[in-house]
Amino acid sequence: MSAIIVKELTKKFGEFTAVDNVSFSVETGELFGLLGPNGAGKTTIINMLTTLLLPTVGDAEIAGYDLRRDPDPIRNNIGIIFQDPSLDIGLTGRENLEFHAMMYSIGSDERKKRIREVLDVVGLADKADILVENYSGGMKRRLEIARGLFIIQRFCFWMSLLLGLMHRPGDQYGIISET
Amino acid sequence: MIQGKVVYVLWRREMIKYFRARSRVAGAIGMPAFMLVFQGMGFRKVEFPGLPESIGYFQYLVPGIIGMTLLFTAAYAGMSVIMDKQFGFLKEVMVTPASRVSIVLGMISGSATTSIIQALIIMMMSVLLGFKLPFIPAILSSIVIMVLISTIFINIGLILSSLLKDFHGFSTVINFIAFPLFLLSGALFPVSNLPVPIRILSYFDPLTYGVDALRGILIGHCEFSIVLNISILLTLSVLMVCASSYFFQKAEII
Ligand SMILES: Nc1ncnc2c1ncn2[C@@H]1O[C@H](COP(=O)(O)OP(=O)(O)OP(=O)(O)O)[C@@H](O)[C@H]1O
Ligand SMILES: [Mg+2]
Repeated sequence: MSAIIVKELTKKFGEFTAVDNVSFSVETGELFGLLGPNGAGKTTIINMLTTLLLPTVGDAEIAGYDLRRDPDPIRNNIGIIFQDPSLDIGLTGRENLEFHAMMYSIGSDERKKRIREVLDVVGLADKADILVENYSGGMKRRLEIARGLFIIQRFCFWMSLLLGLMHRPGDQYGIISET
Repeated sequence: MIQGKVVYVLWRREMIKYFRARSRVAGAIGMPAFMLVFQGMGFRKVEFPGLPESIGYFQYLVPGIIGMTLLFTAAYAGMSVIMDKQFGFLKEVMVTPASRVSIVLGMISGSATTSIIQALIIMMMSVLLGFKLPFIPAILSSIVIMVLISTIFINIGLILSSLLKDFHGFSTVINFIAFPLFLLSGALFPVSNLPVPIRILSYFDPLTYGVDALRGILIGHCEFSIVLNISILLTLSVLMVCASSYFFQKAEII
């Protein structure tokens, strides 16, 4: 059985059809990419698969859960790195990560340990305690990635993989898809 | 299903941001403070029909202005949801498996705390202007009423914020709702002075019961019984929490 099954998914914003009758499936362990020109509807598809938008027509199943009927277990199985900014710039980097961890009800010891780890991975350990509004664009992007890596879920949606990242010596990124 | 950590972290975020943005604190307190000084001092000596002689107008007005502070700060709480939407942070909140009820309760507890802090600042200011405070137990019970009042109006803001996207739309609609609620509530003068059709409307205003309960507790004068006031406020609070959880369940956040 496929891990993600998308069946004739359509999304309309008013009269405008952003996603038109899309079907595909992703197998367990597969690294799957959506490619298309700007405005093709990639983000809209992922927004539907991550329960942020409701499909106008069509269905999808993730890990056997139906998008419309069981959004909660789906949210329990997905991690996401957004294309657009989604940080609270009025908090510090560490506070953003803490917020995230607590929204997933992760206990205090585990939380502190994981925050140190992901901050090291993205090279933000020394900037963790300044407000995100004072981060550079690339640093914000790194924080978003750190947050996406924080909880390793069965499914990881990574929008715009290469957006705004400059490689720095010593950077290490593992790409997590399904495990 | 209520998740303690989720409620707590949303509350804590609101506190962190509130204490970092001092200008917000000062700004939101301005309007009720002016009302207190100008309305309160200006009409100090006026005698209103429906107002017992033993209670001066200023004593009568203070609970009303406290209610007003709660109404406006609470109703505007939805504005931070609109801001989160525009900054993209709301997506981060909504993709997590946190239950929608917990998210709504977290938002309510944060905003209720800030609204009550503002209301207590107004209460302190009114003491400087001559308001006679009751004893501690009465002040503590008045805080319970404040929790109920702010819960009701925070939820109105939250529901609206789940439907709207932009600041201007939100503040236009919220003002359109909040001003009549404020004027109808009897915060400024006894509702019994209003012509009958308008007085009937005031019975549909939750703030009428909120202000009346605050008066009962703080100055020992109320029109309805405290029990009736509290029952109405409590029922409405519960209904409103359910309603906004429903709206957050349904809402498309992008
Ligand atoms: N909330 C919305 N309301 C109206 N139209 C929208 C909305 N969101 C997206 N669209 C439109 O839907 C289309 C698809 O947008 P989407 O963001 O999914 O594209 P994309 O494939 O992710 O593009 P990019 O490569 O630029 O990220 C675009 O034409 C966009 O203008
Ligand atoms: Mg996109």
